Amino acid sequence: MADDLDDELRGFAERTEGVHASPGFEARVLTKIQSETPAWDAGVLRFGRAMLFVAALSAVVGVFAGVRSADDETDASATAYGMEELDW
Amino acid sequence: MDDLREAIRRAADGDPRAFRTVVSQTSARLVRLAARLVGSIEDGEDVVQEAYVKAHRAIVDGKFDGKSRVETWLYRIVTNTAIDVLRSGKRRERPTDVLPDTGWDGAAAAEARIALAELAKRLEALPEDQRVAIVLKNVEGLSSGEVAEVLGTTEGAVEQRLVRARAALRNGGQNG
Repeated sequence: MADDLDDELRGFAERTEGVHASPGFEARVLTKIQSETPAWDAGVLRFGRAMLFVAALSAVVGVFAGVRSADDETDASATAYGMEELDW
Repeated sequence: MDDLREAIRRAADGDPRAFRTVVSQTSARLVRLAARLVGSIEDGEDVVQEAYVKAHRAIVDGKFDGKSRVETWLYRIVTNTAIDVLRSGKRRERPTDVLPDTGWDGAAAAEARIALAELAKRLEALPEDQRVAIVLKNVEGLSSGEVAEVLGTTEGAVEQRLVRARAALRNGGQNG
């Protein structure tokens, strides 16, 4: 049961039938999507690199601390020897 | 439509070219729908661009379950994005004397722009859910069942919104 309102809305449908996107719209959409996807990938890479750096740094610090600890033990022994030598 | 489903499957598998097929096969209808919902081509393009980004993310994350038709699913994303824009009042400010180059016939483009603005003015007093229902049904030409599927509601709820919207439009835009 069509009435004036139906006719009015049908008129809007017909008058806007030819509406379409501006030139380059599809390219803009794809560029936007591509720009978001590598950004995410880059974020993952950055996070991974940061974790690798922290792990490597921890390993270096660990080795250095181990060497220092061994040196300290050597020094302590040497001092003890020295004192014993003085006692002689 | 099988092409679209296949393109979505390939996009989900990580084929970067597959989403291009989805965009090229659906953008014309989606931009027209969005423009009819928000009242201008530029705002409609913004809505559709945002909707495609959401759709792409959902596909890559494996969130498109394939239960609905691809077009219905995209209609739903565009409609929801348009509702968000209508609610937030986020529209582009643009001078009325400078119209962007649409690449199509000047007179037809001008007429379409005027019609979109008049449609938006005619529907502006309606709540978003009624506005969307009447555009999908009476301007886009979907059946009540299709409108219900796009809006994720029942056919009865759609009919109720349409009755209210039509009454309000006959009453000068005021819901009574």
